[in-house]
Amino acid sequence: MSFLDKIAGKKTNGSDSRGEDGIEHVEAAGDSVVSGANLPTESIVTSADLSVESIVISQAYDSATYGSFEEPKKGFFDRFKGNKSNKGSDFSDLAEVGDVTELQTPSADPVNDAGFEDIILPRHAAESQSVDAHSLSSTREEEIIREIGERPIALPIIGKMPAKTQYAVSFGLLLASIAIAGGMAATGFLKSAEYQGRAEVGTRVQMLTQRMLATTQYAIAGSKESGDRLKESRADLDTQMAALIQGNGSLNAINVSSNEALNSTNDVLKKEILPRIDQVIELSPSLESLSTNSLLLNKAIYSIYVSADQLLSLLQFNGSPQIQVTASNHIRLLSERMRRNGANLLTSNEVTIEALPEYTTDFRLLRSSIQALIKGDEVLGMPPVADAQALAILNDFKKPIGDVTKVTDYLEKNGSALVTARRNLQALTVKSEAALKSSSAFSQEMRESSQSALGTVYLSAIFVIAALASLALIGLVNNRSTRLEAWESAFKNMRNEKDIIEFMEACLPLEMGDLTVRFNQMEAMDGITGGIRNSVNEAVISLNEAVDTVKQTAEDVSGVVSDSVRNTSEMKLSNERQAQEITDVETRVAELTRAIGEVTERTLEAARATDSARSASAEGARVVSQTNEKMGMIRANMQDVLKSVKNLGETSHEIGDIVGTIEQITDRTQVLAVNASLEAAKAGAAGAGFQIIAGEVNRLAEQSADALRTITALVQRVQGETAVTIRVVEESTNNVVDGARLSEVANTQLEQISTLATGLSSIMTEIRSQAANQTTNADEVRISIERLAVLSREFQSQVAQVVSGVQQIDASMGSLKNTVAIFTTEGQVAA
Amino acid sequence: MDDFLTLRAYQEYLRDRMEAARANSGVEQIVLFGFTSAGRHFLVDGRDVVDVHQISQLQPIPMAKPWAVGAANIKGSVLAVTDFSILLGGERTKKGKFMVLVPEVTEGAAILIESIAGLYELKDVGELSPLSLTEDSGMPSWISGSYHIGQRHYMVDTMKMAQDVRFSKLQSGDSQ
Repeated sequence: MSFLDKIAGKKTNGSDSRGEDGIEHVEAAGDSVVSGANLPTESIVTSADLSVESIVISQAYDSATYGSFEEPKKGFFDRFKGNKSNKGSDFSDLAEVGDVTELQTPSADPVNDAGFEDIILPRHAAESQSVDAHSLSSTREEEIIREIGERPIALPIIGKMPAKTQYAVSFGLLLASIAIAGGMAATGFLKSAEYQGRAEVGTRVQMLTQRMLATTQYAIAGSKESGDRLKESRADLDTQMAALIQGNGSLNAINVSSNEALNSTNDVLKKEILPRIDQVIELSPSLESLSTNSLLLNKAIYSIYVSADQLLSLLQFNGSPQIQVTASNHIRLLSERMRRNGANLLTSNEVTIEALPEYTTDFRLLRSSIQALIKGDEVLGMPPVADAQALAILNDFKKPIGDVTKVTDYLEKNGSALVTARRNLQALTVKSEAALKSSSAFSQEMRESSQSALGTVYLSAIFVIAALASLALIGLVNNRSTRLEAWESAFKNMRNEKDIIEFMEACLPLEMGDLTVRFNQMEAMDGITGGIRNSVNEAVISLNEAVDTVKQTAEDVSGVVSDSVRNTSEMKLSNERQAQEITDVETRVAELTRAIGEVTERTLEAARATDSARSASAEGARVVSQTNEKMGMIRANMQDVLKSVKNLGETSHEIGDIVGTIEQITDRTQVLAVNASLEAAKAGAAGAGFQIIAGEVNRLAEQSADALRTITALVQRVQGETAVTIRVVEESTNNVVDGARLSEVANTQLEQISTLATGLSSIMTEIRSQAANQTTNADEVRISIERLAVLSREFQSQVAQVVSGVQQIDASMGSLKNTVAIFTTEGQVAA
Repeated sequence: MDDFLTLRAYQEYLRDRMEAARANSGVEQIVLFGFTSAGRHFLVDGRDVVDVHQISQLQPIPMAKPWAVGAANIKGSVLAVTDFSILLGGERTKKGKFMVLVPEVTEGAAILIESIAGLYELKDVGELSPLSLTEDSGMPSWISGSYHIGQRHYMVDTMKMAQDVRFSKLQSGDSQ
């Protein structure tokens, strides 16, 4: 077994053979012993047992294929060859340090190396092999790529650019897409909102037009509120139209001529509707009292009509002059026509202002007729009304006539305004239709335009998709960049790892204790292990000297320690024998002490039991004595009870006799009663009363018989129970007598037991005293032996510690020697 | 008796009953005499019973029929005593009373019974039920039926019984 096998725990499956030069050669079959994963075709076998401390390295290929010692066969030697950075160096530098061994490497010429199945790495390299650095690097890269995988493929087109450029292009596309999409959407939304706003304003114009038409009707009818509302609507319409045409905060200005519907609406409003509305508004103060006057007129005319009718009737009734009657009738007719015409003037929508002159003429005639009746009319030959009641009626005309006068003045003053307003209303009704149509068309047009503007918003979705695609492109660029960086990092790490592993392989002889090895600085790798090699060489030289010194010292100390070990071991054995003997004596004394203790304990228990027995027997005797007394009392009581029960039995017998006598009497009574009843029955009506009595006697006799039967049963039960009680009491008395006799016997026996227990107790006390003395003596012996055993154990422990210490020193020296033995120093080689 | 709380109340009760009896004296009252024998209850017409006596002493009659258990001196007349239980096929009555039937019916015979069950008026005992062919199959022909007075009371037809038994011929040679 080679030293390497011991360390690695693994033996190559090659065969050992010893060559002619006495060097043990080991042929490896291709297995890798150290870091085999990185050296698939070679193995390193080192033997520490060789007389020549060499490192034997076997190439994997066999001798027959030496001719192909080429690139694919590069192995351990290749890793010791310099790289490009060390090409300028030479192994001659290292030769100056030790010049102890030679480093031989197989040449490229297999002929010169024929017979070198194993290649011995000399202690100093003579020369360095020239290396095709480019080829080495290429091969290593291929190995690394095999392990970590191929370099990730770059994206098409854009992938050829640098990563930053890729990011810039992707972000540019993303921003452009977002900007275009946002711009289109914003434009579409804004335009749509503006068109929608115009449509809403157009609708508002429609509504206001309608409202003004309706409000105008009420305003002409005299409603003040409608007049105010008409003003508001007019102002609102102006605002809306101004917003449409000139624009406002949310709407832009529009060229009216460019939009036919708006133009038409604006024309109709300006030329046809708004002037008329303005006129109505202007007239509204005059029209406001129209309704008031209308009510006043109705009331006054009706009052005149009613009074005229009363006056006519009164004058006809009084036989007034015909002319007065005719005049009063005329008043009534005039009032009726005025009422009709006035209502038309005030309320009719038709233009009936032509009726105003007729109305005023009628009113004038009416007033003249009233005046003629009151004051008389010479022209007509009509005397004034003389009748007081008729005069009162005529005087009552004053108030309504005053009211009608006011209304008539109003009509005369405002008649033209009323006519104008009503004509405007008719024109407004017609023109509003045109305004409604044109404004409606405008609103519809604006809504359609709003929908069209939204189409632009939909188009912006295409650019949103483009933005998403750009985002995906950024993700792809990021992914590829990350993967490339990861791959390159892994590549670099793997390359460094391989350098370190190769350096560790080169350190393997050192690990095995071969301090004759020196590293070739020329073979330092790509900056990872190059600096370490020189330091290691220096450390190995120092270590050589130290190990030689330690080895010699260990040999000297080991001889002295061996003597000590032998002596202390003998002392330990003799001490152990002595300790064993003391332990045996101690055990026997302890057993003796325990046995005496047990005897003492048993004696104590026996003494306690004896005392308990004596006490119990004394107590038993006392209890038995008391029991005897109680038994005597019980016996006396039982005799009393027996006497009483016997008396009870005799009494019950006497009761039975008495009951028998009563039973006979009852029987006889019953027989007598039955016979009496039978006799009474035979006596017919005469015996009816007697039969009742006899029946009752018979019934009483039967009840007595029943009661007697119950008493008899009770007496019999008492007699039976009494007999049983007497028997039980007699048996109990006998038992008590027997118990008393047995108690006497028990008392005697208990007194005997007590006497015996007292004697036994004194004997036990004496035994206990003697056992206690023996226990004391045994304890003193035991304590002495225990002290001796303790001393013996302490001495034994100390001896054991000495032996252990010496053994530990011996073992340490052995270990030290073994430890330093693994180092192969240059002194050894020289020896 | 238990129904009456005081003696005064009992006297008033008796007075009322006697007055009621006198008031109804025009109606014939038929009394039935009840007795027990062989563990059963029987009734006979009270008009056929002269008297009831307790047994004092019976003089055995030699060579007589089994049911003729002896002769007794009743108020100076010697009467043959017939055990009713034996007539029904039962055991001899060991302790009891005997009743004397009217001479017109039984030629002065006396019947030995166990005990007196009571006197009942015919109007109070309900309808006479015929004998059951199964339960009463062993009854003699002079049992005419039964009344239910708390329990079954068999009605004895004394005329038929007298004809059947012929009390005057007590000797065994004149068996029925």
